Amino acid sequence: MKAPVTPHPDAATLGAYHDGEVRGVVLSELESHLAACAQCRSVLSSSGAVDAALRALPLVEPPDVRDAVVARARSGRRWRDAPRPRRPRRRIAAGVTGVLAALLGLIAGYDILMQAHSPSVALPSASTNHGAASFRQQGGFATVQRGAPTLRVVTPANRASGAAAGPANDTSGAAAGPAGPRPTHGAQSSAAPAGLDGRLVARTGVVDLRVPDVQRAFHAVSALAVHAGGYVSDSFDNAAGSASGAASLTLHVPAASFQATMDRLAALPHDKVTARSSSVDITGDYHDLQAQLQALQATRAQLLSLMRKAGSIRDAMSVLDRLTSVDTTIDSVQGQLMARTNSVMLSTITVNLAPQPRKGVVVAPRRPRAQWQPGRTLADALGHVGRALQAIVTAAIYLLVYLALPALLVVPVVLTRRLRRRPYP
Amino acid sequence: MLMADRRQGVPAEPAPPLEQSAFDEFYSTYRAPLYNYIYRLVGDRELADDLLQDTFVKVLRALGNLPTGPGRTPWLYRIATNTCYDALRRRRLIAWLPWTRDYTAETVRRGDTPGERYAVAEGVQDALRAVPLNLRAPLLLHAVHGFCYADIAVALGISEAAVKMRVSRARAAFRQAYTVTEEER
Repeated sequence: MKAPVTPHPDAATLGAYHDGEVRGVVLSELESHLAACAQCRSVLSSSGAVDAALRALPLVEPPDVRDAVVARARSGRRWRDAPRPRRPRRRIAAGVTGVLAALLGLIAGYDILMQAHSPSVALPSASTNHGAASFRQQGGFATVQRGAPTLRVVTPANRASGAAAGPANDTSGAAAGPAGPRPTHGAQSSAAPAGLDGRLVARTGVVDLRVPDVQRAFHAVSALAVHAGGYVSDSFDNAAGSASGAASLTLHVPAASFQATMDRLAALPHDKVTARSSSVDITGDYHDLQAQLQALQATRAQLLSLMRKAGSIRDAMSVLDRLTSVDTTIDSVQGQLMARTNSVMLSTITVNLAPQPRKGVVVAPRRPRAQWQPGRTLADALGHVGRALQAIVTAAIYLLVYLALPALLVVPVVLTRRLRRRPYP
Repeated sequence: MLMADRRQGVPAEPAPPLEQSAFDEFYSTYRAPLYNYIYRLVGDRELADDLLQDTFVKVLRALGNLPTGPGRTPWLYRIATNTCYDALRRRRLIAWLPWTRDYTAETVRRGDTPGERYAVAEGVQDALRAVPLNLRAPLLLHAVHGFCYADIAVALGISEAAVKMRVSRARAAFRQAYTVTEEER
């Protein structure tokens, strides 16, 4: 037999030829090759043998599953419906999930909202608790800080009394030449920021900051005060000395910059910040002092005129004594008025700086490694497991409660759907 | 043989929903061939019983979407094949199949002597067990159920070229396994 002219086809092609799946040009080529190649013919016959062996397998009697199939099909849906009986379950599952998610979102959002509005003072954020705004509007006052300076504010009443007192002072000053020049504690009509309704309000603030670098914060606060148009009146700096040193400063800033300065202080880099501010309405106080001053000045004028009329030196001397004490009192009252003016024009902010507690282990370097203590480890592990179990149980309780509501909503719906399905007659 | 004619798959519009009488006819037509296919594929009688039921339930549900006429048959076997694959995957039996030698319940429709039938069947089933599952399906569909490559492609969701390759490899695997088992006797 002559050698085949075409190359041997692969087993798959021969198998396809055996199965009648080869057509066209390939078929004719294959047939001509097979006519000349005994090897390929034997491969071909073995394909047929495999198929014959499989066909020779005995047929197995199938079970009768008709009733079971019908029952299962009936339980799912009616015959004439479109398929996909799982859709209602998918809808229910989607609905339950949506309700759960909405509930959880509501509860979480409610918690967040409640937390944001709680009047907590020690929030680790840049919020400051300013009740002063409401105080100012109401014209009330909170606490009276001893020694707080006061403000002199221009009001129509002040201006009139100041104007009235001014010339009297000058007059008395000029007239009291022999009694020595009296320094005129003038400047009674200095302009100063007034409250919304002409009230005099002194604002003070206290800011406690826990900062990573006390020295740097100290300088930043000083710069802040100057930048705001104020100054640092007191300062106490212990930061340079020791690692745990604290510092504090007392700032005076113009009242108009008080709020901005408080905000900037709270915005300094910090670990924790506490801010308080208070306002004192010193209008009544101020008016009292002014009335007192007027009375004293009237008395002084009377005494001066009395001294002019005095006949004897002894009389003049007694009047002079009285005059001296009145002058002293006037000095004091005017000093108080000045202080009050200052306190309203310049707000006081006390800043306390504390260092952050050192994070990490504070261990002396030469301390030897702690020994392995399996007993303590076991106790710790049991403690952790206990806490974890507590957390799991708590979570489970919450989940149960959260699920109870949507379950109450969903169960009736599911039951209604189930009851609505009628079996196929 | 049950379906020995070669057919081309013909796309057709979906059948109308099934009436009970139509289902009975359908059930009686396909019960035996589907069961034999499933049984030879998975090799376990109890599993085959369950899978036959599952297949019929799925077929019923999908019947509205299946083509009518002769083009329906490959799709039925596709559902059966996927049902078997899913079950075996769940049971992790892809690599190994328990082969129950439950010959007593099998109906034999040949005229051979019992001894010959027993010997032939046992050897063939052992060899078939050695053929990998993904090769066994196309081999059974072609050799036992008479599917053409196009129908096998529909039933298994692969290309015709892949069918050709797999049938060939399945035969080779079967031959090799059968020779070994024959030598072991």
